[in-house]
Amino acid sequence: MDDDYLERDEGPRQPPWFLLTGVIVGLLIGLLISMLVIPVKYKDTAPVALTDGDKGSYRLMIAQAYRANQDLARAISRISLLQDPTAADNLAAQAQQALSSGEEQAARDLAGLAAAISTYSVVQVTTADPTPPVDGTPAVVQIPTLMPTAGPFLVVDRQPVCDGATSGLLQIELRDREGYPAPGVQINVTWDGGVDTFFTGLKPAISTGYADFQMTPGVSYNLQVGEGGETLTAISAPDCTDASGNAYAGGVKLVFGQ
Amino acid sequence: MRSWRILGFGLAIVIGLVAGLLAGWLLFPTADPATSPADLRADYKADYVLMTAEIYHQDGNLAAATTRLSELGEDDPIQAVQAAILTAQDLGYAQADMQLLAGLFTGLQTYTPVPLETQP
Repeated sequence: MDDDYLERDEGPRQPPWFLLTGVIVGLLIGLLISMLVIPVKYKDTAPVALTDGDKGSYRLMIAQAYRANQDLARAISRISLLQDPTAADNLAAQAQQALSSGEEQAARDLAGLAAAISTYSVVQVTTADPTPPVDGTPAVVQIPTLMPTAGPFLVVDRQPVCDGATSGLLQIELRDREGYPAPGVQINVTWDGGVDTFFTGLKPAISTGYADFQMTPGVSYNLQVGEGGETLTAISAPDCTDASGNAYAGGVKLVFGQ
Repeated sequence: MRSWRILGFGLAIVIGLVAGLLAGWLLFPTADPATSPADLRADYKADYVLMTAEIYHQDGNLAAATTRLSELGEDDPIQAVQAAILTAQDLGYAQADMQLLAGLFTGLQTYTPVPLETQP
């Protein structure tokens, strides 16, 4: 009996493998439950967590609500919930998609909001009073610059542009009666066998009243700006010559005003 | 000795189970974090309904408003507006916004969806 005891006690001690086995079995069961049986479900989320498709619908709703209430500060507050650093660009891109899908009103709403957001500026106004404010800081006034777009647009300037970088490009700039860029205005271009529609404000980096269209050399285009606006006919890419004497198709720049 | 082993084995399983659950829910969640409007928090849902009310106030299109509200996952769009009104009251919405919500609520109460025509 004593020999047996001594023999067991002095033998090499086995590590507690059963504990490790238990942990592994439990771990596998836990992973199985948490991944398949009761997977995590997200609730009480913010708009930033929406799917891309739902974000698009949310953006469109913001643009439509902005059209309804013309409250730019509220629209910006809402669009900021999507935490999108390039909100205006995404709105413009979505407007282009809507336009290509034939949803003209949606495209107009999105382009209008894109342009309004990109023109929303914080202007620091320092008073002309030589006496500085008590705390030494200039007054800051937030001025949301909303552009009226009502009324027909008439061409005020039309120039050929001989620049290789804008070859065949029809550039359109719209200004309202105050001389500010006019965003969200529909432009229709027609030619023999084709028609295209687009809006100003889709390239806010250039100007919120800017739009462009790529012309094919030798094709004559008609262009109408807005509803009841002046229709220009026989617009085509001019013939230009570079410094080496090589001919190329130039562009056209049109400026419209109300 | 034997009972200690059984107890230790059970305890190890429990520890592993808890670790597995935490790992599955927190470290490696299988669900896509992208959600739908139905999963929005109550205050965001209220603003969603307010946007719908603002659009409805301008275009008077109840069918479109109903479609927008259906995204919030309620069986009845009126329930979504009711919940939004309660949340708006709690959050102290402006009177003008409350009137917009009330206008949408009233409109929905009188709204009868046009049934889809069935093919013979």
